[in-house]
Amino acid sequence: MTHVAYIAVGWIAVFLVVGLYALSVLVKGRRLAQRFDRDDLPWG
Amino acid sequence: MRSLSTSTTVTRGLGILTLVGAGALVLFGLVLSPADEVQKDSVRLMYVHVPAAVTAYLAFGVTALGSALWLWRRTRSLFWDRLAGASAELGVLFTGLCLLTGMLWGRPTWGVYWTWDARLTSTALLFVLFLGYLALRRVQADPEVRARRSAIAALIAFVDVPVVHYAVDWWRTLHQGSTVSTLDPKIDDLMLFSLMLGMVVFALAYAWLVTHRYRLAQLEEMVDGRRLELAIEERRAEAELVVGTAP
Repeated sequence: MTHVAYIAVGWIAVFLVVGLYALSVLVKGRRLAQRFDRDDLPWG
Repeated sequence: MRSLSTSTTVTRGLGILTLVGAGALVLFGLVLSPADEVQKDSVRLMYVHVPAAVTAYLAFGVTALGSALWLWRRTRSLFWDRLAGASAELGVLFTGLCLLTGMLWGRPTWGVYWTWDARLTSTALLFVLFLGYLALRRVQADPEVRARRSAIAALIAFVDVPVVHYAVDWWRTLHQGSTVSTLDPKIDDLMLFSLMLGMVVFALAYAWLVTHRYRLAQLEEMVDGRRLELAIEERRAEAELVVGTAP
């Protein structure tokens, strides 16, 4: 691999992993929050 | 009206700020900052590798603090336990990214992806220790029991953080020593700015993610509580039915 390839893989991996993790937390949170009334949510 | 989620106005603002910062980091890290005289362009991996490492330290520091405050009777609250768990998950995520980007930086710089050097080995150990901590948190138990054993495990695992940090000073390692922790950093101004920007952006991402992960943990507990109430009601109804039909 060239230097550019190492840089590209590193940067893409960071953004991809953090992005997918964020997405999974947001989706799970939204799915569970739907089961409650707004007033029941501590931050609602 | 907005749908129900773990977001609030503050977290939405924090999320937008993180995205804008990430865009600026790409611009400075990949375009505007100069290549290194020795390492050439591969130095650009520093702008994600070092911030990932520092954010992992921050996350494990918060985990250790939350664990200690849970263990201390005066401040004992499940808030600290939830925060410790949420932060440890992010610590593992950023340590994993630190290891990955370090390997990708090591190959063009040292000629190898991995070597059993003190810094690399202690970082891998830190990753495994906190993976074990996360596994321990998933073991079914009373919330107080789980919080106590998790807090003790976190404090034991945290001992490795200073070992990772000082490994380059305590042992002869292939990994380079500190570049910016001295008063006179040996680095170009634009490179230093890009590195600092990376640290700020990663810290913002951490703050945003840990808030959402904490709220998700709260929701999971609320769902478990509701399930328990439902199960108790069902058992009560069954018992009343048995009593009512008894001769």
